[in-house]
Amino acid sequence: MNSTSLIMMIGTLSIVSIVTFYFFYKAFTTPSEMADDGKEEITRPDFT
Amino acid sequence: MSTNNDSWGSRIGLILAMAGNAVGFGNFLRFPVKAMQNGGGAFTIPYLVCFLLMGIPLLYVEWASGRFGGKHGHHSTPFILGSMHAGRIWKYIGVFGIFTNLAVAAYYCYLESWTLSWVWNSFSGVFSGKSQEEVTGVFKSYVSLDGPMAIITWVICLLLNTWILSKGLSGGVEKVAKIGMPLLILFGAILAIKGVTLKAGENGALHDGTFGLNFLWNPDFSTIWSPKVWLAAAGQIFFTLSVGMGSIQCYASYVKRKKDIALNAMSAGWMNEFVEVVIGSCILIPIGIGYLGIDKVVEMTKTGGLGFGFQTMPYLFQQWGGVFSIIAGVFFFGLLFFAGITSSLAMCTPCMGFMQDEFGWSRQKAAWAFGATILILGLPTVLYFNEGVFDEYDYWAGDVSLVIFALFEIILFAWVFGMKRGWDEMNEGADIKIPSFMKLIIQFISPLIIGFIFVMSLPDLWKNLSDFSSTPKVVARLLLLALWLAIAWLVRTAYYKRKREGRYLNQELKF
Repeated sequence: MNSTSLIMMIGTLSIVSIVTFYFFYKAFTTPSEMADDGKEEITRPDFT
Repeated sequence: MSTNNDSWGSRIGLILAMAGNAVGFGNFLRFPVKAMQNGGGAFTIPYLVCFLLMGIPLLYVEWASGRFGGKHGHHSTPFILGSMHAGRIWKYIGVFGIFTNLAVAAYYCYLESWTLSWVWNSFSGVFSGKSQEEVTGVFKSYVSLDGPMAIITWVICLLLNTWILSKGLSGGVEKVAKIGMPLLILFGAILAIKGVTLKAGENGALHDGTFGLNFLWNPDFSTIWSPKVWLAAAGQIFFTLSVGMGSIQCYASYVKRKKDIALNAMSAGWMNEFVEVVIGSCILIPIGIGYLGIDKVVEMTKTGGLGFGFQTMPYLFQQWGGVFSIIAGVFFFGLLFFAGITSSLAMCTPCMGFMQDEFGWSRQKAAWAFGATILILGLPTVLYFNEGVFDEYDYWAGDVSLVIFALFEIILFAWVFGMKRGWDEMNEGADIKIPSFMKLIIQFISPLIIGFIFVMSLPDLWKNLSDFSSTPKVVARLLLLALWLAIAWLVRTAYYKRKREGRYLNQELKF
């Protein structure tokens, strides 16, 4: 591979990989309960 | 009234389902071809700029709009948008968010069934010992419906989608995403390693895998100021992130009021980029060029990567010989199948959400009704594939509709709903700090870019609209128009039903 292609490839792949893993690491290590635990306010009011 | 009590079971399930929605055929078959045709390595500059200035802002807008609509009990775009402003027009703009999903799912499920058939064909040795022309013959015979396999696999695919949907979000969609996405990455990584480490002379390869990579990434900086290249990059961002469809809003509407959307949106969006740029660029082109050379691959991918993927890749995998040729075929089409099904499931949920919210349908009833609708809508794309009906659906639903909807939704969010409220909505419960310059991007730069794409696509739109040369294509166009009008009529009916029952679209502002 020529050096310009190599720089473009490694640069792009590194940026995308590092940012992706940063967000994934953050999402994995930040606790968040998505399921409805019944303690939240009613979000689907019934007007009938 | 609403029977829609679904919710996400876990954060990772939500992120994987959202990423699965975005990761599709485009990541593996479209991106490398677009990059190759538009300046190679230099394409990544407009591509990443469009991702940062249009893709990420649209992700934030769609996640925030979706969760906002969910607070008011809406799970589809007509009333998600309708709850953001009292203007009547918005719920009809939201019709695009159901229309696009239905129309795209109609032909996408057929495409998904190809992958399932090709997994079987690879496994059962249908491609063994065949020349490239013979593999192309298998494909042509398949889409010409010479045997029953195309129809049978398509129906199996529809049934599978419907059955998973009937199990609900956490019980169906989330489970498939948790199994499918890791397998997709594993299959992709194995094929990418094989593609990159290809050696010239081994099993008939003409070039090393790095030769193809060099061609793909070699930057032609003269192309960087070409509007055509920027349009291709922006189009790829639309296509790959599934923005402007209405499915992201639907998934996000099941996120609870004070739960994060900022970090989730970034995790899912960047995961899609990882699969596309890192894995997607290391399979099709390195293997294709490795065996066939640059000229032949450039010639064969002129009409896109779809034909190349289904007509040429099975032949190339055969060159590896023995068990690995079978494994490679199963892995490649298996990963396309997982990419396809996680996307088609996302396309189904807005329509189901609408019928559950507005007409009190059960999840099972909505799922089976959706399956039946896709069967009827998809039939012309199966029966008249060679007459261009498939492409007609793809153009109007997969290209035009996305841009129109995205343009209106970002204007609504930034200028009508108001950027201050929008910003508060994006940041509520956020686990990361959204950079403040994003506010300016959402308000000014993204609408300008999307507007530019729309204006630039007008000549093409007019050309397609005034093309009456093929009767099946004209009928397909009319069918799509009828679909849009039918959804608009359902939205109107649901709106007046709400009015009669005293159910507001936005219970805080009472409209």
